[in-house]
Amino acid sequence: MRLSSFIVREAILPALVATTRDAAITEIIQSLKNAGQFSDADVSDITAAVLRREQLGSTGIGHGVAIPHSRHRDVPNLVGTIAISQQGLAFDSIDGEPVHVLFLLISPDQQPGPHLRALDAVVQKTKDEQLVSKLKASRSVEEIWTLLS
Amino acid sequence: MPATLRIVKSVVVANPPMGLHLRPATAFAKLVRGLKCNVTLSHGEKRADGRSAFDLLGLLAPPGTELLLEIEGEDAERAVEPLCEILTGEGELSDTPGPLS
Repeated sequence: MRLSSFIVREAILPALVATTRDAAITEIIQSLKNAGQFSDADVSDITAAVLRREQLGSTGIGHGVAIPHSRHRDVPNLVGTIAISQQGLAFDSIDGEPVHVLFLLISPDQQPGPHLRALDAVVQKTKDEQLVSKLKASRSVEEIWTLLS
Repeated sequence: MPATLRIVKSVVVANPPMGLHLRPATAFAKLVRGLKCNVTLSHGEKRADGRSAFDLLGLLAPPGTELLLEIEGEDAERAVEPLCEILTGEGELSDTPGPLS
């Protein structure tokens, strides 16, 4: 699966304002909403689900990457986006390092297949630590999109 | 100096519905990082360093997958049970908390 098939370009955030994990997740979901992916009514439900998932165990998988995610009954298709935190966020990652690159994924309920393929696509891409460094140094949506393509 | 112990064990992944994905993989890697032993998980020809969530996720192991767990080092004996529990957690460490009600 190509990242460009589910990453919503209009929702990419090259410079998160948030300085905490929960605020960052909220900011990213709001960005997806502003890009027309969710209704106003669904934003609080989706945010609560992603935060609850994160409380079950950190999605910080190491070298500055986290993949907060959840499923939601009213989301028709898998969507996601990427956000960069220049200062880094405390995420209880497995290596204890702050998170700079966040991929947030929301998938339809009862469809684990696309969700798993999207997770795998993110993992395969972010295994490359040089790419993660370039993403972290990106300052524009265009730069990020080019790196992901 | 204690003798180095090596344990090799076949484990079937549970964790429905996702298998060995984010939550169990990160829990597994985090546990391994706190132990004095080397841990390798294999799925066919794919091998994963137990310390790396990236490696573990790359095994692409849905529920029912048989993995080979190899543990070598001072903590091998006490590592085997908690590591197997993560892999066979029967949903306790499934990847998502379930659909919203």
